[in-house]
Amino acid sequence: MPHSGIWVCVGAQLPACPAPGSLSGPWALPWSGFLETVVDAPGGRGVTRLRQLGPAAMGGSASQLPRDLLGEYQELTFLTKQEILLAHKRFSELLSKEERESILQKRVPKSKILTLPELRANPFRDRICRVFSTSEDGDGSMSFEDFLDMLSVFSDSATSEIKSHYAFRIFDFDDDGTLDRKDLEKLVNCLTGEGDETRLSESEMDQLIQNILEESDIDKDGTINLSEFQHVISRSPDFASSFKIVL
Amino acid sequence: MTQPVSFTLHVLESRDGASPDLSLCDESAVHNSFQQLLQEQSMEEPELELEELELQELTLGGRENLAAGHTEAWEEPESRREHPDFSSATLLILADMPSRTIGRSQGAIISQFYNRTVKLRRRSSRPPLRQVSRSARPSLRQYDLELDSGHAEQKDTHSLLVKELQSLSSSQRSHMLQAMPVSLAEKRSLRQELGGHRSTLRKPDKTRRPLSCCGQLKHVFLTGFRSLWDGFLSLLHSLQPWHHSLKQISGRFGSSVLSYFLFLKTLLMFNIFLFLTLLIFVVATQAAYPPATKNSRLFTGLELLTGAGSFTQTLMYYGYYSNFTLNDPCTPVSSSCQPGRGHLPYNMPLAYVFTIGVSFFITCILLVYSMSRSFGESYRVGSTSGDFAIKVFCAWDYKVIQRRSVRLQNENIRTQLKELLGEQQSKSRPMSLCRKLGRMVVLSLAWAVSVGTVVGCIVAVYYFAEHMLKVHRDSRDEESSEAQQEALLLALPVVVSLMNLVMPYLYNLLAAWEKQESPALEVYVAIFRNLILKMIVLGLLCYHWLSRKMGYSTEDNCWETSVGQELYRFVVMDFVFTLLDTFLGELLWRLILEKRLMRKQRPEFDIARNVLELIYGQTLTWLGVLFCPLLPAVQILKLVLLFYIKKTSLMKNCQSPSKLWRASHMSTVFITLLCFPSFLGAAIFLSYTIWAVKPSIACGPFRMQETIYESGKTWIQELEKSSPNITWFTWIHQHLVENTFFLFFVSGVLLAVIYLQIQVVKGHRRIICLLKEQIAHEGEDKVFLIQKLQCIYGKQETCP
Repeated sequence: MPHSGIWVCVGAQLPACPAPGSLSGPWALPWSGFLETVVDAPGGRGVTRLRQLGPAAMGGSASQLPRDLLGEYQELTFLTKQEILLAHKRFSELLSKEERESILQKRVPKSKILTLPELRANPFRDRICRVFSTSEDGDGSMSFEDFLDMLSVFSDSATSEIKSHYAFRIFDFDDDGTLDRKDLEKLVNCLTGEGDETRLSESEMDQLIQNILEESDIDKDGTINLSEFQHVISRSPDFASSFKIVL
Repeated sequence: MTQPVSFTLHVLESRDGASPDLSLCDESAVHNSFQQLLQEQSMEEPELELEELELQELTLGGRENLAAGHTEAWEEPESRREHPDFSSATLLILADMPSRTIGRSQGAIISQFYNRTVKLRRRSSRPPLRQVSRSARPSLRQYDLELDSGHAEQKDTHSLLVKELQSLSSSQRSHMLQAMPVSLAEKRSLRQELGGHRSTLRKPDKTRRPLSCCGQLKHVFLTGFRSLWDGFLSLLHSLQPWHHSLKQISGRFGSSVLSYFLFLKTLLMFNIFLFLTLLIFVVATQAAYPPATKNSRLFTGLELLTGAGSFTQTLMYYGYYSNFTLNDPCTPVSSSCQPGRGHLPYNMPLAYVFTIGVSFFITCILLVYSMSRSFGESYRVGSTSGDFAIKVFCAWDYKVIQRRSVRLQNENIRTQLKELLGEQQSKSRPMSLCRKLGRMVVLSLAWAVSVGTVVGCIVAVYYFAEHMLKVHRDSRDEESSEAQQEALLLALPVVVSLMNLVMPYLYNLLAAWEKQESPALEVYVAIFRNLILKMIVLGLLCYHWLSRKMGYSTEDNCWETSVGQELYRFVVMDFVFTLLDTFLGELLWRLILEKRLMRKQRPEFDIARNVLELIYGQTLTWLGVLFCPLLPAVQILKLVLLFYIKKTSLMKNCQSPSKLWRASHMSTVFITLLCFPSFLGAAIFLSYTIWAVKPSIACGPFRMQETIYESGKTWIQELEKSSPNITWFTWIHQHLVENTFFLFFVSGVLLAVIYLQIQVVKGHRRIICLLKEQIAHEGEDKVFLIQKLQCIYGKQETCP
C-alpha cells in the first residue's frame, strides 16, 4: 500500500507534517473551488477527507472508492469530489455486476465507452478513446483512471493549456506529433460530416487547408506543431468553454 | 486510428532497409534531444516502460511509414507536395524534431515540465545549496549534451522532475502535477515518489525542531476548519441551480444559446444580492416597526398588473417608509421619551439611502470586475485575424450530445466554412463602382429608416405620456371608478412594451434587406439599433417622471410612490410582452412553418434580442430600486419564470442559430452593455434624484429634507454634536467627500495609470511584432537547414 505513509504521518508523526500555515495562503483563494487540490500535504489531508466523506459520499455508488484514493484523484485531477464520485457511478454502470467488485482493475472496451450519451454522437469519439486510453494494444479500452483523466481534461476547471494539449492529440489522427495536411483534412471532414454529400469539394478543401497553414504555421515547415496549435487556440477564448463534456 | 500490432514486427527490417547508413542514423539519434533519454528511461524505469513501448512503437511505426512511403497512411499527395523529394533519412530526422515529439511522447512532456518546474522554482525561491550545480543548467537539452559527453550523473528526466518538484512549495507542486498532460497512472507514480522522498527528507526536520503544543493545537484547529470549509464548498456545489437544465440546453443548442441562460443566471444573482441587502436592512426592519398609517383599500387583483390600489400603502413603495429612528423611544407614536438609552438607534432614512448606495456600489464593483475579466479573456494583445484556423480548431462544441444537434452543428460549420471561403474569393475581386454606389445607397437608406423610427418613437412616446397624464387627471376629476383609473395607468407601459416588441422585427427586416457582409457585423448593428431605441426611450421616460412630479406634487401627495408604481408596471408589462413574444414569435411561427408552409425549418432563437430584453428589464429594476425597494423581488420572480418558459419554448419550438456566434466574445459585449448604458444610466438617474430633486413633503423617509443627500449631511452634523470623539469621521467627510480637490486628485491618478497601461500595451505590441519577425527568420533558417541536410543525405543515398 503506497499510502501507508499517510497514516503514519497522521497518527504518530503529526509534528512532521508540514506546518499548516504553509498550506493555505494567497494561493488558495483564487482556487477556492479546488482548495483541496491546492493543499496537497498528505498528512493533514488524510484525516480531513476521512471525516467529511462520511456516509453521504459512500452511499452514492454501489461499490465504494477507497477514501485515500479518492483524495489522491482529487489532488491529481481537476475534478471535485462530487464529480469523481459521479464518474465512479457512471463507470460502474458500464460494467457488469460481477466486474463492479474490482472496478479499478477492469478495462471497459471502447464500444462500451462509446455508448455513453456524452460521447455517442461526438465525431471525435474514436480519437478521444484512443488518446486517453492507456491500453497497451491500442484498442481504445479505458480503465477508470483513464476515464477520470478524460473527464478531468474536459472539466470546467481544467486549464486552457491542458485542454489545448489534448485537443492537439485528438486532432493528430496519425499520432505523429504534428498536424499535417492529412490530419487537417480528416479534421475538417469530421467537422462537416463524413458523408459524401456533406464533404467540402476538393478545391474548397485545398483552399481551406492552405489558409489554415498560412495562418497558423509560423515556422513555415508545412505542418502545425503543438506550440503553433496552442498559439492559435490562445487567441480564441471560446475554445475553453466549448471543449467541455459535462457528465 | 489504431496502430496494428503487427507494425512492430516488420519495423526492424524496414528500418534497416530505409537507412543503410547506420552511423548516420545513430547520429540523428544523438542530436535529437529526447530519444536518447527515452531509451534510457525504458531501461531504468519500470513504470515508464508501458509508455515507452507505446512511444517506440509509434515512432518506429512512424519511421517505417516515413521510410517506406508506400503504406496507406502516408500515401497522400499533400505530404509529398510539401517535401516533394526528401529522402527517407531526412524525413526521419524531421519526425524526430523536438517540436514534433512534444506533441506525442510522454518523455518529452515530462522534460518540458521539468524545465518549467526549474523556471518556477527559480522564480519563487533561491535554490538551496545542494542544487546549485543543477540549477545552473538552463534546460534539459543541455543536460542531455552533458550526458553524451559522459558525465557521471546517470539520472533520467523522470527522477529529475521528481527532484525539482520536491523543491517547490506544496501548492505549486500539486498545481504542476495537476496541469501535467500525462496519464493519471503516471501522475500517481510521480506523486508516490514525491511522497516517499519527502518523508525521508523530512525525517531529520522532525528531530531537529518538534512542533510546540501551540503549533499542534493550531494544526488541529486548521484541519478542523478546513474540513468544515470543504463541507461547505461541496454543499455549495451540490446547490448549483439548474445544472441539469443547463446541460440539457447546451447538449442541444451549444454554447451560444447557453450564454443567454448563463447571462440570465448572472442577472438573477445580482438581483438576489440586491434583494437580500434591501430586505435585511430596510424592508424587514420597517416591517418590524410599522407606521401608524392604515391600509384602507381592498385587494382586487388588478394590483398585480398596475402595482397601485391596495399595494400603494405597503412595504412595496417609498411612501410607506418612516422618517424617524425606528427603535428610538422618542418616536411620535409613543409618549414616554427618555433619550440616551443604551441601545443603538436605527435611523430609517439613513438606512434607506446607505443600503441602496452601498448595494449599488458593490454591484458596480462586481460588474466592473466581471467585465474586466471577460475582456481579459476575449481580448489578446497582438492577436491578428486568423479566421480559418480558429474556425476549424475551435468550432466543435463538445457539449452538444444529441445526434440531431450534432448533424445540425455539422451543417452549420460546413456552411460557415463555405461562406468564409466564398468571402475570401469575393474579396480578391474588387467591387465595381456601380455596385459600390448601390451599396452605399442601401446602407444610408437603412440607417435613415432606423434613425427615423427611433425619432418617431420618441416623439410618440413623449406626446402619449403627456396625453395620458391629462386623461388621468380628467378621469380623476370626473371621479370615475378606481379600477378604471388604474387601468388607464397601464396604457403607457403597454405602448412602450409593444414598441419594444415590434421594433426589433422591423430592424430584422432592415437587416435582411441591407445584407451586411459579415454576420458578426449584422449582429452588432442589430444590437446597436435596438439599444439606442430602448435607452433613449428610457431616458425620455426618466425625464418625464422627474418633470411630472412638479406638476403633480400639489394633488399627488407622493410622487416617489407613483414613479415606483410606474416602474413596477413597466417591469410587469415587459414580462407579459416577453411571454407574448415567446408565444407569437416562437410557438405560432413554428406552427405556421410546420403546418402551413410544410417546412422542416424551425424559428431560430434570437440571442441578441433576448439578451437585450433582459438588459432592459434589469435597467428598469435598477431605476426603480429607490422608489420601490421590493422591485428586485419582482425581478427575481420574473427571471425565474422566464428561465423555465424560455427553456420550454426553446426545447419545443426552436433550432439552434445558424449564425456565427463567438459565445465568449458576445458575453463580453453583453456584460459591457449591462455595465455601460444600463447600470451607469440607472446610477446617474438615482444620483441625480438623491442630490438634486426635492422629495415629497408628506411621505417617505425624507419628507422633511430639501434633498435626500441633505439627510446624510444632517446626520453627520448630529453625530459631530453628540459624540465629539469620532471627529475623524466628520473630518473624512469634510475633506474627502465634500472636497472637490480630492476627487480631482484621484481621477488624475487614475488617468495616469490608464495612460501608463496603454503605453505598456503598445510596447508589448512592438515586441510581439519583433518576435514574429524573428520566428519567420527562424523558419526560413529551418527550411534552409533541412534542404542542406537533404543535399547531404541525397548524395549519400545515390552513392552508397
